[in-house]
Amino acid sequence: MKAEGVIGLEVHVQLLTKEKLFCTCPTDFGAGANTRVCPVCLGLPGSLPVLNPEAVTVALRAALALGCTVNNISRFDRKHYFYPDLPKGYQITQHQHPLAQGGRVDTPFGSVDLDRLHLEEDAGKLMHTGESTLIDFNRSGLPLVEIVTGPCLTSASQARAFLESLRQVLLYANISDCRMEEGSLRCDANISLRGGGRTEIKNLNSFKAVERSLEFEIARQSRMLAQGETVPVQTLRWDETQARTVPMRPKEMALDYRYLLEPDLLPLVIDAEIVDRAREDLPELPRPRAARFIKEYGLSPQNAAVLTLTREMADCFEQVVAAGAAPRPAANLLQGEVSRLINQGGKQSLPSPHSLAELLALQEQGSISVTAAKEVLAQMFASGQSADSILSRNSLSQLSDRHALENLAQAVIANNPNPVADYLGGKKQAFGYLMGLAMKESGGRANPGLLKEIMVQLLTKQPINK
Amino acid sequence: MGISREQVRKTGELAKLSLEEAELNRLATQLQEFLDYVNVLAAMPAGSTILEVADSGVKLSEREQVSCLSQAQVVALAPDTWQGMVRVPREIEYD
Amino acid sequence: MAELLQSGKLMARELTEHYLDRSESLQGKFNAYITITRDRALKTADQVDELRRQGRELSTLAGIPMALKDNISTQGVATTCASKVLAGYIPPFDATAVKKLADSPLLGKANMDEFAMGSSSLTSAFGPVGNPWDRKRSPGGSSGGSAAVVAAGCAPFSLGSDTGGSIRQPAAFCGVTGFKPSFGRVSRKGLLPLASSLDQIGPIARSVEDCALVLQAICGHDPGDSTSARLPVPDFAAALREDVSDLAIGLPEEILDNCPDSRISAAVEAAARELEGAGAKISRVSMPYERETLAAYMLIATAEGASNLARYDGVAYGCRHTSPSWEEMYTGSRVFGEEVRRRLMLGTFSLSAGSGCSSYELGQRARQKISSHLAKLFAEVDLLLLPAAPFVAFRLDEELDPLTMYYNDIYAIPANLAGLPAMSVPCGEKGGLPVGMQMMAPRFREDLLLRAGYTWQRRTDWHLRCPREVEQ
Repeated sequence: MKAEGVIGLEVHVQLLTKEKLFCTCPTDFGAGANTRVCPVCLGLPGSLPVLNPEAVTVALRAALALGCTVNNISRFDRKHYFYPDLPKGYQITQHQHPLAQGGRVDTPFGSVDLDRLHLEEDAGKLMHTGESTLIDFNRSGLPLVEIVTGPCLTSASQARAFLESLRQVLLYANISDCRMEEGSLRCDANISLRGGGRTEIKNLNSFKAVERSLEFEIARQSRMLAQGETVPVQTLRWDETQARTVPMRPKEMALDYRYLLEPDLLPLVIDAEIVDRAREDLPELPRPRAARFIKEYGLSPQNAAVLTLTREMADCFEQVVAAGAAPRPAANLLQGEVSRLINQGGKQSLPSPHSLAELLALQEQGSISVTAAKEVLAQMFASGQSADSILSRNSLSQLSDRHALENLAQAVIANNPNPVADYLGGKKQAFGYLMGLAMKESGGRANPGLLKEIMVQLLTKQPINK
Repeated sequence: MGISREQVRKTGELAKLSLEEAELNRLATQLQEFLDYVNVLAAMPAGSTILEVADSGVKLSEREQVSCLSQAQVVALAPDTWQGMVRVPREIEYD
Repeated sequence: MAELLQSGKLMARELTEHYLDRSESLQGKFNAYITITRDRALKTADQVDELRRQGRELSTLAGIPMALKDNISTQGVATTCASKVLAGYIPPFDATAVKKLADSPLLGKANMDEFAMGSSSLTSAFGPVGNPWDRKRSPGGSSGGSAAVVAAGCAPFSLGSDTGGSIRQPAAFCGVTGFKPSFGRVSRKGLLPLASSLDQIGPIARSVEDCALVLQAICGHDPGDSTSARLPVPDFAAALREDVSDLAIGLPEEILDNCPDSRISAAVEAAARELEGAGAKISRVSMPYERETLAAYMLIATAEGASNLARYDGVAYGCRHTSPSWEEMYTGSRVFGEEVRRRLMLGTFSLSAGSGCSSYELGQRARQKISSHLAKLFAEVDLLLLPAAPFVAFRLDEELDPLTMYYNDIYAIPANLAGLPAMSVPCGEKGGLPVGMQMMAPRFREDLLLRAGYTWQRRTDWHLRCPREVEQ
């Protein structure tokens, strides 16, 4: 549903760094409560923040990957509010002078302009039980970048597509692992329909929730406006179970943050040298890579898009081709069976591009049938062994031995007089039936072309029994 | 620059101070005195922006490693905890 | 003293016991300490004695006892900032300055104005501090306890902190020497901050020489403090020469002409003549902006102070007021004294959207202007000589209104605003109370202060005088 108005998104992404933003506590996930905490991220009196150079590098890479303009001087601010998960009573962020501005994300619904990208620290984690709220400060101080779109999204589906494209770019450039369910990617949405106040939606835990909540709000607000009601400025949270938005209590919300330039940190100077180094570290991004796949490998746009969905897949494809496989079959194999097996999950070891190329070569030569190839691939995933070693173990090689096939076909014909008679009597389907039996007898290994030729030969030699 | 009693009350809320009537009145007077005093600055000509790079940002370097506190230390510091987590009373957030 | 320890003629334990006994016996009289740490002090003393017995090389200050202002984080020792809000808070880490003085036995944590907000040491939640020269009078603030322990002979030296004169004014009130280093010289890591862009830790001792020794130990870049200067620490001892013949000293005329207490300005003028006699060139310079200075300081210090005190919410440490409502939990835990509340209100207001034009920004712009004016002055002179404070020690029961109380810092504030080093040394007396004079130098030129101060103390004996009330 298209909105008569505008939608904006505010995305918080946790950076992939070893240490927190302003202290050297590790960022590993899942540690015991309050075991990844130090005086700085616990906000103990007299503690001082010290900026993490790795976080700056990663944030810079994100800015470049998103086409932002990097400010060569940026500063940190204190954003004050009281909340139990905020140990210092303020969050260190970049309000007045952010790291980067501008930028763009392309989606199938058109490109989305970005407003800014800046560094800030995360707060602790709250868990509500019956009568208490429990706080784990392990998350406090984790490095985040906040990415804000302009108020330029026009539909709920575009919003979702934006998030998917954004995540793709961030994964490619190794910025974050973007897992909403783990909290390494968070999103707030805001919507202003024409004639209505700006509404903010929080507590969105999945891309689907973003889409559904926006659809809900667009519908709800359009209805109100049509009936002449006012839509106030407000903050809502999305209730997943009830599938509706619910107003949040006003007193919790942004009153006055009293921004103060952070006196404990020096201005952040990013010179051309650092930017160039970061640019060198940038991999080829999804869109340019897909375009190159189309041009260099003669793939269709659709194939190219699927193959470049993740960097791992795209890298794998190029390596398979480099190992000697032809692009089209390689694309099909990766898009098809390989993707299916990966999605199946479970314990598996990804075959090397070299062994995938090997498998394709065997198929090309005719040493194995397509069916056998699937079986081999599955075993490659399960065991981590190469195609060759699996074949020699399981004798899954395609059976192209003429003599063996003749024996096999002869046996099938001898054992199935009625279908043979039907075939000779003119029923073409009987041939397919006989072929199937023979294939089965061969354990799926028979070279189909050769088998067919042999079958036909033998059948025509058959005396017509009555 | 003037400050109304209402602004004083709101400032107290922002600072999370509980102000009783008498103190509120006293503070209103005192804050007004301060603001009158500092008003002299409004007449000063505008200087350079705060974004001076004089004491400029330095090339980022490796940080000094500081080890984490143990959970026991965090628990010892906190007024109330439960199973290693800091505990505060539950406040009902949503209607 | 250091020589005696080094030569072995005196044991650290003896020395420490002497100061501990004295501190404990005078505690009731002056209330200069919040916590006395007898066991820890003796343990350090014994360790030093043992190391010396083994013939190990030790720092100059090894075995020399000290007191630390209670806004300096000490691992395992209560650090309260003289506030109920932090009563019982025991830090799990030492401030960097404390680590650098690890061989100095810690006698105790010195009393102070609550959260360093004050110029009287009257606002402490643990009772006011008395001036050793007259216990019914204030020792100044906010490092009143740190100055008093030195003046009363309870500690050879102490560390205080200075945001707007909090080392220099109490040193003047107590007749001792107080030194505020350039901003960035001493690491602020572990200093519970009042105003992060103005604070510095500094020594208080009987003489410029002693201050130089302490400075040598505590100065230095700290990667844990991003605002600490990446400069090598000069040899401060080398600056201790009796020679001012190459120094040009400026006297700010507006300040001397308008000083509320003519005895103070007279003492400073007399000191100028003495230094002139020693070869220095004295001139009069112009330092206007008195009101702008105080205004800028009030806006910046209260805004940064309000921000730095936002973390006292009783959640993860400190005192907590239990309540089912978070709002009440916060307001109930934030039980600050009146002065702190007043400054929190001003600071919060000046940062808030409701204040219209950002007052804090105005303060910072004024600061720029004052700093550049000082830089211009220092192009003409090497040092500025002026009073440390406009008053001598006032009575504890004298109710100064808030603005007048802030006026105590009027001469000290410029050094904080501009990040310059400044020092207060005794230079006279009025009615039996000490008068102090202040010298300011360009940024990172502590050596000039030490040289001039050392010369002054070689030629005079104000710094050797002791309060009659305190038997030596």
